[in-house]
Amino acid sequence: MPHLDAIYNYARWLTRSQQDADDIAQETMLRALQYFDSARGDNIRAWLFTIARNNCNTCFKRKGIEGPAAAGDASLMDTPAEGPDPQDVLISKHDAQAMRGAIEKLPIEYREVLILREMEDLSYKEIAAVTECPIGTVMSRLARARTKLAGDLRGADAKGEGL
Amino acid sequence: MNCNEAQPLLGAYVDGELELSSTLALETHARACEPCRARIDSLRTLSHAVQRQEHYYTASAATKLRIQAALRAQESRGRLRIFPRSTYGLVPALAGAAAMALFVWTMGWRPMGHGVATLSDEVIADHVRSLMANHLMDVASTDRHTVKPWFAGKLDFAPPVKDFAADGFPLIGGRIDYLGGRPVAALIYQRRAHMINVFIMPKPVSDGSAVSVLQEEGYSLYRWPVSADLEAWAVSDAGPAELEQLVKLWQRPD
Repeated sequence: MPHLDAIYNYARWLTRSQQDADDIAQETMLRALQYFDSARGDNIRAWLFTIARNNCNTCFKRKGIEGPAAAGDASLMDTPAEGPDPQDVLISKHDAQAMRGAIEKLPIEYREVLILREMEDLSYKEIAAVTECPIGTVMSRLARARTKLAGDLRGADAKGEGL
Repeated sequence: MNCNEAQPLLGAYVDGELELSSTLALETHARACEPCRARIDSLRTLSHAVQRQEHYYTASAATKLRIQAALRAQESRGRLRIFPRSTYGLVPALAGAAAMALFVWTMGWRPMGHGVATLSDEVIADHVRSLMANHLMDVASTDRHTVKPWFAGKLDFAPPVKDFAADGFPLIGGRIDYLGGRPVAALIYQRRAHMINVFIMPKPVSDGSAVSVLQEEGYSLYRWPVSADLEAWAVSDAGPAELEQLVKLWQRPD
């Protein structure tokens, strides 16, 4: 089943839960099978991510958790897009766990664009289609995600050295 | 361009999403600006760190089996209409994961003809099978000097073997596969979380020499000549842009 791992990875990062990711991956593949004749365009991957995203939102709603905010949500703007230079972050020092923790701590809107861009190789345009945001929002969320991630990793670094 | 103008563009630049004129302006600025060069470097470092394979979650074997069973159950309930493979209408719409899933299950099927259309089906089938059947590599090596001699004696031609680790496409191994009813060389490259199969085989006599691109079943395929009598097929579920990059590396003179 091509793309299953991509869907699973996306759902796993978005929900931060293995069980939810299992369920969402299954539900997404079933819906894709059911509706694939209504798929439009040749971008099957983006279409599958859109279905997975809807399933994630259903899961969040059931649990009473806020899903990713729509474009233009002002509460996301407290992270500067061009903040402290990430230039002194020595990523190589971080083990996988520190990186995972830092990504998981990102607000869901930032985490989502980061995963779609870095791990799933989606273009800005594809991410905009999946997340139903303008490309400008995708770019600013991605910039903020990276700034925050670099900042958090540097924070973790400083703490590690203090011990 | 100054730093204030450059800074909001750095992310898009690193992602390869900046249009040409801004790219050129930014590169001109960065050549003269050490802090901006450092920012670009650290953005790249951060990207690579996030992209590391170990952060990529994959469904467990049990989950995959469960999903396959659920898909089969749904299919047998008759909710799926099977479309005939047609040359008109919404071919891309048929190229769904579901179609692919069915395709994978019926993988024993082999097209009889050896034209381009059926050969591309075979290339995709071989790619999928190599990933599904745990038979990605016969020889696992990142050293082309190990992979190249390994093919000698197993094939009636000598496939060129190239490694592009420095360009982000490390060679991870080789395999003998069958395409168009004959043994061919398969080279396996890794691109982030994706595997790319490059098949090398003798070129059909009647063929032109242009690079051709196909997209089928959610897979990208590239076909190009590698020498006077050999051609290559690259296939992956990585994006077409990534695949094109690998093809360009292949076409780069040694």
